Amino acid sequence: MANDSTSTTSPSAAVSVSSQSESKQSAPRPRAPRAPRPNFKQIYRFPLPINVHPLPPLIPHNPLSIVSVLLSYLTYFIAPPHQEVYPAYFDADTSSVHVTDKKAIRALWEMGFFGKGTLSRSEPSWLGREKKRRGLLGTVASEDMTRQRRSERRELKLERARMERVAVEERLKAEAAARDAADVSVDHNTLSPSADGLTNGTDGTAPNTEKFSLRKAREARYLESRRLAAQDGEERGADPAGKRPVGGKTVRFSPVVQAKEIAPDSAVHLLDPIGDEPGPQEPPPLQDEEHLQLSNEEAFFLAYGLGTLDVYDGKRKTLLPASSLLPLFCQHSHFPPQDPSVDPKPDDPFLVSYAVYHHFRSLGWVVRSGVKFGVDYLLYNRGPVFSHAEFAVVVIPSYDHPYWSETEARRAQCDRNQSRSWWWLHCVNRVQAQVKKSLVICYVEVPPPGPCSAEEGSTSDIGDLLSRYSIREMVMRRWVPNRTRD
Amino acid sequence: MADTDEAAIHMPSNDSAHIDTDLSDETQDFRMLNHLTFLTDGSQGNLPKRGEKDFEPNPTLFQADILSASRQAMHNALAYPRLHHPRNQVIGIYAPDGPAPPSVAQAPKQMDTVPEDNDTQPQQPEDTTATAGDADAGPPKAAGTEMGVPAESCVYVTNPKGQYFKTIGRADRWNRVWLLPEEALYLLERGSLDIRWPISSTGCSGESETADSGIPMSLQAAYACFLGHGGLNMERFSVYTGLRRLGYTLVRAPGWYDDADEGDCSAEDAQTQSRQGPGLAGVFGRFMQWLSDSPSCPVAGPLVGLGIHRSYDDIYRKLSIIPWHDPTAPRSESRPTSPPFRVVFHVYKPSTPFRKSAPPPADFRIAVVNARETAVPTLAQMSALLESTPLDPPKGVKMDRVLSLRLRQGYRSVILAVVDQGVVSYLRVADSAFGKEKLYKLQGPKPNQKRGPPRPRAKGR
Amino acid sequence: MNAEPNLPIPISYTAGSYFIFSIDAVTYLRREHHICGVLSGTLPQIPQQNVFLGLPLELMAEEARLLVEKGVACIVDEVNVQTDGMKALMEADRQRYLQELQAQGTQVMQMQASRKEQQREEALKKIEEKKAAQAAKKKASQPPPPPETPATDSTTKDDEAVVGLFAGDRKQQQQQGPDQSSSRRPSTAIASHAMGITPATSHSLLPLEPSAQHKLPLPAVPSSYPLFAHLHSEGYFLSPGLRFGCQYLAYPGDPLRFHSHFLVVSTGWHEELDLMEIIAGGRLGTGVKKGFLIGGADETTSDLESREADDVRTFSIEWAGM
Repeated sequence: MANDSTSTTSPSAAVSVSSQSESKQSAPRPRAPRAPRPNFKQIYRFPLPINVHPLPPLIPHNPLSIVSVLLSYLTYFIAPPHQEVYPAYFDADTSSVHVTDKKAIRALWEMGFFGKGTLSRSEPSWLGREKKRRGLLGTVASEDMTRQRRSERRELKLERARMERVAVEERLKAEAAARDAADVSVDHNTLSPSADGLTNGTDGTAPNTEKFSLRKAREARYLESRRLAAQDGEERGADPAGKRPVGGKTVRFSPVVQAKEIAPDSAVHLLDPIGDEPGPQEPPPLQDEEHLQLSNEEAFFLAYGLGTLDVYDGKRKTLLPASSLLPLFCQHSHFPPQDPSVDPKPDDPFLVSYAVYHHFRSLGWVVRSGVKFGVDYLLYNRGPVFSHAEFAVVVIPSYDHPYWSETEARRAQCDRNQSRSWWWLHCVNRVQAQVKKSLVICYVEVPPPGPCSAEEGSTSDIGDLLSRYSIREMVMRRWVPNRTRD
Repeated sequence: MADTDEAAIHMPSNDSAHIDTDLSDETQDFRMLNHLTFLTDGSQGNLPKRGEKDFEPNPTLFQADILSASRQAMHNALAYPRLHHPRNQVIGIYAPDGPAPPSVAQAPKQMDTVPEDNDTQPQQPEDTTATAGDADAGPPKAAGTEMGVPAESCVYVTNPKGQYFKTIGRADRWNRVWLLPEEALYLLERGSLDIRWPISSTGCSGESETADSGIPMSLQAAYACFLGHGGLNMERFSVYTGLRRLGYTLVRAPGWYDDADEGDCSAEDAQTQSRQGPGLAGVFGRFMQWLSDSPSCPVAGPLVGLGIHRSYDDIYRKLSIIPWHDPTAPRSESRPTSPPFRVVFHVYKPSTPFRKSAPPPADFRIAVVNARETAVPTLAQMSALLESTPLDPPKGVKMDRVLSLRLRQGYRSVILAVVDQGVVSYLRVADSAFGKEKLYKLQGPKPNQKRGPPRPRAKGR
Repeated sequence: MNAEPNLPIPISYTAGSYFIFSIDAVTYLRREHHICGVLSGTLPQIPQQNVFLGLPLELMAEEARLLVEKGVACIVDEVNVQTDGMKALMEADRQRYLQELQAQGTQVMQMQASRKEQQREEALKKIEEKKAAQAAKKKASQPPPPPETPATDSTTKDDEAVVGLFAGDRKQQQQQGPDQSSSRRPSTAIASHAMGITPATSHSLLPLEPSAQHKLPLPAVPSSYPLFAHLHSEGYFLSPGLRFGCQYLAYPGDPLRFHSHFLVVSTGWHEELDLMEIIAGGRLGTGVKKGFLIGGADETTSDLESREADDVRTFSIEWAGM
C-alpha cells in the first residue's frame, strides 16, 4: 500500500509531530528508497464492480470493421457474458451490510473501493497481518506500522515530560541557591529577562528549556535504540546544550514517571492495549475471519444503482429487493432504529445522505466514509491507494420548498435540522486543513413529501424519488488576508 | 486506504501546510514588538519566528520574570500616545448631524489654528470632480447627497493631507473631505487624524466664530460617537480596520444598507428556467440518460442492471439521476439577500490600482456576520448571497489542467467574515458545481489518451 | 504598570460591545483578575499590521458580566456619557482642559527635540568610534569593535518616557497642575509649539464617576456562561476561540506567555451530543496538542439563585487514533 513509502520515515515523523514549533522549521528529509509496491494500476483498473464489453471500433470505410462489430453482437447474443452478482446480508446489530464471500470481498474492494474490513482500518487485510504476526509472512502490514509509530511517539512524550520536569527542578534549585548566596548580582543576569530583551527571549535560556529537553529526548531515544549505553556520557558531552549550568548532561532518567505528569498522554496509553491481539497460541489452521462491511449507502448503491449486490436478511434466507431495502435503511438511520410502521420522511438521514453518495459516485468519485475526520464523506479521485482524498464533504439539508415553512412546528423542526454552529464549521474546517483536504459543504434540497407516498411510499419509483432531491456543493476554506495581498 | 490520509498528518510539512498559520491568530509576546523582522511576515520568505511560549506554569522565578517583562512590554506598547506633530496635523471636525454646508461666518476663516499647507491643494480639485461623477452610487440620499457626500458622513476635514485620502473620504464643493464613521474612527485610531468636538456639542457659549471647540475627541469618545452610527457596528469595523491595516482598500457595498437592493450583477442575469433544479446541463444530461436507457429502468432499480455495457461512461450516465445546481445556468429571479448574509464591503488588494472616482471591480466581496447571533447560513441564504456576486468561472492554464483547482476556485465566490467578540475569522465560499466536472471522463484507461489522466497532486504522500 | 485603578472600573457599552479604554484598567484586570479581552485597536506606533494590536480592549459579554458580578466593574452607557458630558462642559472647563493638553503637548515636543539632539550626538559618536576602530584595525587586526548598541535602544528609552507621561492619565494631570501656569497662553496662538494629542480616554475631561443614570444592568450572556465562569474560577484565562474551532480557548496562564491547553465548547445539560462533532473536536485538539473540552451546568438544579459553580461538569476528549 501507499503506506510503505511512509514507513521508513515514521520514527522521525513522530518526533516532528510532538514538537509543534520544531517541525515547522525542519527541512524535508531525504526519503529512503521506496519499497516496490504492487501494481495498483493493474489491480484497481476497474472503477466499478461491473464488467464492460467495448465494441470493436467501427470504421465506416472499412467493411471488415462492420463485420467484426456484428460478430461481437452475435457472440454476446448467443452467449451473453456473465455478470457477477455478489451476496451479502444485512446485520441489524451493526446497522450495516456484511459480505463474507472471499471473491466478493476482493471484487468489491478492488473495483471501486467499497466497504472496509471489519478487522482492519480499511482494506480487509487481517489475514495477511495475522499470518505475519505468526511469522508466516515477511512483510509488514500498515496497521503494525501505525502501532509502532504510536508507541514510539508515546515514549518520546514521556521522555520529554521527564526532561521538562528536570529542567524546572534545576531552575528552582539554581534560584534558591542564588537567593541564598550573598551576591545575587552574579547570577541574576542570567536569570532575569529584560523588558524588551529579545536577546533573552529567543536564544536565551528560557525557550531553550523546551528545545533542549526535546532534543535531549530525541537523542536519548536514538542512543538507546543503538544500544550505545557505554558511550552515553561522552557523546552527550558533545552536546552544545550541555553547557547549561544545570548540568543536564549527566542526568539519567528513571523509567518511572509520576502518573500526574504523563496525564495528557495517558489516554493514548490506556487505549492501546485494546488493539493488541491475544498472545500467540498454538495455531489452528488459519481462516479468514474478516468480513467486508458495507455502509448502507454503499450497499444500496450496489444493489439499487448497479444491481451487482444481492442483500439478504439477517438469517441469510430472504433476498431483500431494493424496494424493501430503502425503508429498512431509513429505519436504521435513526438510533434506536425507527419502528417499521413509521413512514420515512423526505428528510430521513439515509435519504439525504444517499442522495449525496449517489451523486458523487455517479460523477466518478470514489466515495468513502469521512467519520475519522469528522465529516460525512471523503472523495477520492480513482481511489485511496492512488492519492489522498482531496475533498471532505459535510451534508446539510435545506428546506427551501414552501411546504417546509407552512406550519410553525415544521419550521422549527427544519431550523433544527439545518442549523449548524459557526464553531463546528471552523472546527471541521481546521481538521481538514490539518490533513490537507478541502471542505465541501454539500447542501441537499429536501423535497416535500410526495403525492403518492402514504403507505405506498416504499413501493413507489425510487428513481423518481431520488430525482426530487437536488444538490449544491460549496467549497469552503479559510481566507488569510495576509496571503492574498497581491 | 484511509491509512494514507492518516499518514499525511504525520508527515513533516515541507510546503504549503502552514499556509494557514497566521501570527495574528494568537496573542504574541509584546516583547517581540520592537523587532521588526518578526513583523515582516514571511509569506514570501522564511517563516517568521514566533515568540516561544511555555506550555505550563511552573513556580520558577525565571518564568515569573519573563511574564512580568512581557506584561511590561505590553503596557508600554499600549500606553503609547497618539501624537500629531503640528507640521502634519490633520484636523477633522465632528458633525453629529451629518453633512451640512458651512455656516457663512466660518467658511473663509476657520483654519487660523492650523498652518495652511499649500501642497495639499492640488489634490482637492480632483476629489471634488471625482465625487460629482459617482455620487449616485447607491447610498440612501439625504441632506448630504446634494453636497455629493454620503449621508452617513460625520466628520469633515478641511486640510486633507496624506496618502489615506486617496482611498478615503468624499470631498464637497467647499473643499472639505467628509468621512464615514468607519473611516474617521480608523484614522483617529491609527493616530493620523485629530478629530475635534464641535462647539455645538459642548455646553460652551457659542460666541466663538468657529465650529471647532478645540477639544480633541478621545479614542473613547470616538468609539461612542461612531460605532452604531450609520450602520457601523463593531463587527463591520473590525473587518474594515483589520484589512485596512494590511493595506487593503475597502468601500461600502450596496448591501451595507439594509433596505438597498444589490444590483451587483443583475446585468448578466437573463430570465428563463426555474431557479432551482438541475439547470440546463442537468436537463440535457437527463435527456441523454432517457435516450440511452429507453427500456426504462425498473421502478425498484437497478439503474444499471446486468445487461451488456459497452463503456463505463454509459454506466455513469445511467447513474446520474440526482439533479444538481448549475451556477452558469441563467436564473429567473435572483432572490433577495437577507441581512446579515449580504456583501457589505468591496475589497481591493494593495496592488490593485484604485481610484475613488471610478472604483474597479472588487477583488473580494465580504459579508460580515456576528458569530454569536447567526448560524452557518442555510442554502437559501448562501445561494442568495452568492448570486449577488458576479459569475467568475475558473480560467487559466493551471485551472484547465487541474480539476481540484477548478473545484476550489468555483464559479462564484464570496468571503464570510465571522466575528467572534473582536476576533475575525474569514472563510472563502466558492460555488463549485462538482456536477459540471465529470470525473469519470478524466480518468480510467482511455485508449485515445496518450498520457495518463491529470492526477491531482498527491502531496506529502 | 502596577497601578490600581479606582473601582469599580467603568466598562463602556457601545453599539452592543463592551470596551475598556484605560491602560491601567487593562493591565490591572489582566494581572489581578485573569481577564484578557481582545485588543482590537490599531497601535499608532506600528499601524500597518495585525499581530500586535492596541486599545481599546474589547471584552466578551461573559467577561464583563463576571467583572460586574465580582464588583470590580460596572457597565456604562458610553454614548450618553459622552453626549451628556460634553453638553455639560462649560467654557471654563474647556479652557482648563485645553491648557492641560497644551502643557503635555509642549512637554512631548521638548522631549522629542532633545531626543533628536541626543540621537545626533550618538550617531556622531558612533562614527568616531568606527573611525577609531578602523584605525586600530589597520594597526593590528585583532579586537573587534565594541558591540554596537542597536539604534532602537535610545528611542525605546525615550518612548518609555513619553509613555510614562501618558500611562497613568489621572495622576499625571495632578502632578502637572501647579507648574503649568507658566505656559498659560491663548490656546490658538501656540499651536505650533505643542504636539496635538488624541487622548485614549475622556477621563480628565468628563467626570470620573459615572452617574447612576448612565449605569446599565448586568450584561446578557450566552448559555455557555456557567462553563466560562467555572473555568475562570479554576484559574484559566479564556479567550474567544472561534478561529480555532471552539467557543473558548483555555490557557493555564497569561496567553502572553503560555500555550492554551483546551479547546472549550459548552453544551446544554440535556442536549444530545453529536458524535461527529465530538470526533472533529477531539481530532482538532489532538492535532494541535490541546484537549477538546466539553462541559455545561446542571440545569436540573431548580432555580438560578441556588446554582453553584460546582454544578458544572467538564470532560476532556482526546483523539486516540483508531
